[in-house]
Amino acid sequence: MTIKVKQPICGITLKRTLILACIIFSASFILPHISLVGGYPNSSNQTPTLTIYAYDSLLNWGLDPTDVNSKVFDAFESQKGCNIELEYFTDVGAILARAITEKNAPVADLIIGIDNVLIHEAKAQDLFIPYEPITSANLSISAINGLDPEFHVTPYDFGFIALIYHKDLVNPTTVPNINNLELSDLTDPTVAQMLLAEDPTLSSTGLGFLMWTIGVYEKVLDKDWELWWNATRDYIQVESSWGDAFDLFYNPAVNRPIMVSYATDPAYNYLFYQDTSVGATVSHENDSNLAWLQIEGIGIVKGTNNLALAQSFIDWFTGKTVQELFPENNWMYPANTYAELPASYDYAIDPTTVTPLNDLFTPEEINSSLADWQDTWQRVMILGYTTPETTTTTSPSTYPAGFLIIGPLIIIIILKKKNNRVE
Amino acid sequence: MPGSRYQRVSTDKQRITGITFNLVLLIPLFISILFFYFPLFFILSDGVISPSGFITLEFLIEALEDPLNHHFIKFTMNQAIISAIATVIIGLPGAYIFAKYDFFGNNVLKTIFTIPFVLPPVVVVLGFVLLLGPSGILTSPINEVIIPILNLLLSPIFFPLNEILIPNLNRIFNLNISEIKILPIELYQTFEGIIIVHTFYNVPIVLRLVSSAWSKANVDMEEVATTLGSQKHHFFRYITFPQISSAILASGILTFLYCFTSFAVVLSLGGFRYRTIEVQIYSLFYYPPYDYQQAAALALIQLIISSLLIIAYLYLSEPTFKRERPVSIFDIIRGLPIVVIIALIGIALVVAGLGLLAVLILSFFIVQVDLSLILLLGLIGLVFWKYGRTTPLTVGEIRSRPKIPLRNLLAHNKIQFISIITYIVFLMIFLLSPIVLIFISAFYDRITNEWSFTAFFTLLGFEFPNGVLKWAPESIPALGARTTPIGLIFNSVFFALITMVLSALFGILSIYVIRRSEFLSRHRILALIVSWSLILPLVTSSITLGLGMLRAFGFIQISSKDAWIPILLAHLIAAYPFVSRTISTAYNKVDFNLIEIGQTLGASKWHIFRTIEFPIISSGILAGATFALAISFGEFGATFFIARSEFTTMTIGIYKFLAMKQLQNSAIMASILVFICVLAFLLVQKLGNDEFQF
Repeated sequence: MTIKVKQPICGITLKRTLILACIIFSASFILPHISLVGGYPNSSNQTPTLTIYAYDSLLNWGLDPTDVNSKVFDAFESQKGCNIELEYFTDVGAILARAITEKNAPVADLIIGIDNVLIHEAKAQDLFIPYEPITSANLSISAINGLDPEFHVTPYDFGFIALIYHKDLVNPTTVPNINNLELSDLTDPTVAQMLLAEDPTLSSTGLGFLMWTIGVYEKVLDKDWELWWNATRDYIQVESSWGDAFDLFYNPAVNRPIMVSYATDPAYNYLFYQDTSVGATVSHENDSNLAWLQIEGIGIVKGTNNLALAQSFIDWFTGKTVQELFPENNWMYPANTYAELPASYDYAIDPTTVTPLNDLFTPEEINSSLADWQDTWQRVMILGYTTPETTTTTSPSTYPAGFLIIGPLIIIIILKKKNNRVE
Repeated sequence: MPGSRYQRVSTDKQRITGITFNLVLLIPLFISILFFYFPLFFILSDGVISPSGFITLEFLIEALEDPLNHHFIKFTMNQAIISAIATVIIGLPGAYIFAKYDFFGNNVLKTIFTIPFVLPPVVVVLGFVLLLGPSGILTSPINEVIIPILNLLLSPIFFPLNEILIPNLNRIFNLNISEIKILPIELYQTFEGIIIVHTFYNVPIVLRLVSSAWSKANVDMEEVATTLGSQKHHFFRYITFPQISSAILASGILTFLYCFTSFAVVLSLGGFRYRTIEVQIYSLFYYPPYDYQQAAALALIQLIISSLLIIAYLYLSEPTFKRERPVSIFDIIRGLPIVVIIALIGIALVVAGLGLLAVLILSFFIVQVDLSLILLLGLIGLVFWKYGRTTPLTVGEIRSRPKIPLRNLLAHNKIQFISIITYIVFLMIFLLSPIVLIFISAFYDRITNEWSFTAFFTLLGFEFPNGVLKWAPESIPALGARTTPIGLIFNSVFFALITMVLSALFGILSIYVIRRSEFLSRHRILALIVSWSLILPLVTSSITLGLGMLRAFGFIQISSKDAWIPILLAHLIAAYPFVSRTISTAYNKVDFNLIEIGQTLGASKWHIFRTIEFPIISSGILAGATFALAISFGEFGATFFIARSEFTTMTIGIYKFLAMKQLQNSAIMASILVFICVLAFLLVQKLGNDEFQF
């Protein structure tokens, strides 16, 4: 018997491979340490570490985000001799989801960004330890009452959701009623085609705007709120996050000059571009200015090991020094009434002239109906608005499709039988 | 993979017995069960267990009855089918060209064309936004020049058929169209935008799988047929097509699977109207009002469908299984302890129940698909059934196909030559321009309109004050406190290298045991279950996995120093299937006669492995390990949910830069990532001759 011995296909020997694998393996353990040398301060076990969950745009929209972050977080670290670990999430909804999954073994000590819609879910899940900060006397009473009078979370800033627009494209000649806008004016297709909104199932700004439409239609005008969305659904553009929409708003190729954003955005535009080309408006129904007020808060997670430190962070966060950074870096009004507003805020909508729609809803109502509203919103936007009775019938057009699978199957079986017979 | 049809079948003599030996297999299996199946089970149990603790189908039925879910299921199915068909159509000519012709740089080109597959979706979306987005560079030329010209050509003046076609189409399909017109292309929130990106992603699969099948199709049979005077189409239909059909089907099914579970692409391009089931699961899990039950039910439904399809894919891509003698129930039971038999019967019952459920759900899903698509699929199925079955005839020895130099074609068939060149140029534009654009925007300052490398070096932390090089990485708040961009690169490299080594190690271990174990060779079904269960993570939604890991191990408080462990595990689970498939294919080349000789001459198992098996599979290991490297670099979904800011990777960095609208920084990160992947792939191409297995 002759045996043909083949040459190995590739000449890499085991020894070399093992050496290579060992080198790679050990190198990969050394690599992160190089990056540690570059980036991290030497943290020893003695210094306590405060873990904070926040959304990624927190204090990151100013002229110098790095500087502001060090003023807020690094300053607190050196003051208290601790480490702060910030975890960023894309949206508050995602933070809450993470906090719920970690409920039994919480990682975070503090959560920043729970707003006046999500607070109900957070309270239902019993996530926070109530804490009334030493600054509470200085905080706006309406913000505290609007968010949580029991201080599960402490408000640090607030702002009205508003419609912002480019004045050169949106003015009384193109949108006649712009200076005295009602929500129903937006249902006009030519106006609705200019509008950018956010998805209320994925963005808290979008959720605020959904609450706005519900408040105006259901509570003020006594109509079905679905009607507004049904009228605009074919024309408006809905983005998944506020950041995406904001990017498109400034992109002239997109040609969407009205956007659901915040009442302070004209001030942002003034600070960054030194012009007043961006305007903002709330809705004017029955001779009053109405809008949804978003109040954001910070809370201590139940199960934290650094309670005292977390409490002093809330004191620091709601104190005058940090609060004065909020207007031009987070673009919201500071909750601390002693914090002074910068000059650019002359261009923002004065919040005292606007009536918040929030007061028209009871907390129980929001808590119990939120899921329903979001679900209905999706249905209206995707499937169109129909009265509940007609939605249950399935469309008959799906049935022939079933027969069409069976058809080819029968043909296949027949063909197979025929083939077998020939053989 | 079709080449494995000619695998040398081993006899019982070369099998290895022994408990320790079989226990070795348990290491990868153990990791996969603990860190994949357990979290998965944990999360999916929400969907079938009612709050009072009983098994219930209530949530499943509720999820299937919801009209919104109908809409999303319909969209998911339709886009996946259309994407798969479009991908196969675009990829097939390329597979043919790469299999048949030899031209300058074909190997490099083929390698580069594989790049899209391993790119993180974030990068792909970035590339396409730069290319076809609202202010993309190709948007206005296409919308203002090409489409009006096409519309003019389609108008009744040039295309008189319109007058007959439109009324008939309207009548048959109950439509109401007045003219055939191509609408301007739009990337955001349109159906076609998603299809384009999905096609981009999956063309490499078709190119790789089909061209390797085509080049291995039996040359002798083709020559015999040609000598006997077979005509070209005849010869294709009876000889070539049966040999490549399973590869085409496999690549189609794989594409369908990836599009079916597509997440990041649809999330960023689809808007509220277009959501895959995966995106819907994500929004139910991660956004208020947190409907875990429905999310889990949907995840379960999705998993059932994708498992059915992946089994079909594995079956098609491993024709060896078909050839084996059918296994009777007694073969399985023979020699098994009674406990195992009872367990197996239990499993069989559960599987039968699940199978029934699966068939019900599958038929429900098919009912959701558009009529015309079902017709098309039926037609395709018919063609493959009728013509595509592998012929049992084989003539001659398998040998590699001699490739024709492309320039020879220029001499005798100019039209074919020109069309091939046009096709390659088209493919290059389609597959490479998004990638090239990323590189361009990394080094092109959009504000000052000039080329500059300063942003690149600043991001990496290099500074040149007074002409002296200084390295002082600065943290960027958008990435997380104190996270430097260079730190992200180091993290990525760290994860990628460890994933590479470990997944290769596990791959070798498990494949070696599966192939050589005496126990598994007697129980072939068990071997099949083991190998498939290791591969199933291939298409499992990373969101479900990420959340499953978070929830299943939520009770363990992981300190920030150890936060890399779960990420590494997720990468390992994501990369392992690719490695093991590549090594498994490489192992087919092992000549079992040589092993037998070695055994006869008294060589130890270790010696045989070192001197016979390893040299043959080494290039496969290399290819698989590199694939693992690339997968780990590109992993997005699971990392995104598990990662803590100390251990974020480059993909997350790209995503965060993009979310903060720092386009240039994210382009710089992305270009580094692409560069590393290209380099690794070219290296593999240079060192070995083994194919990647998807």
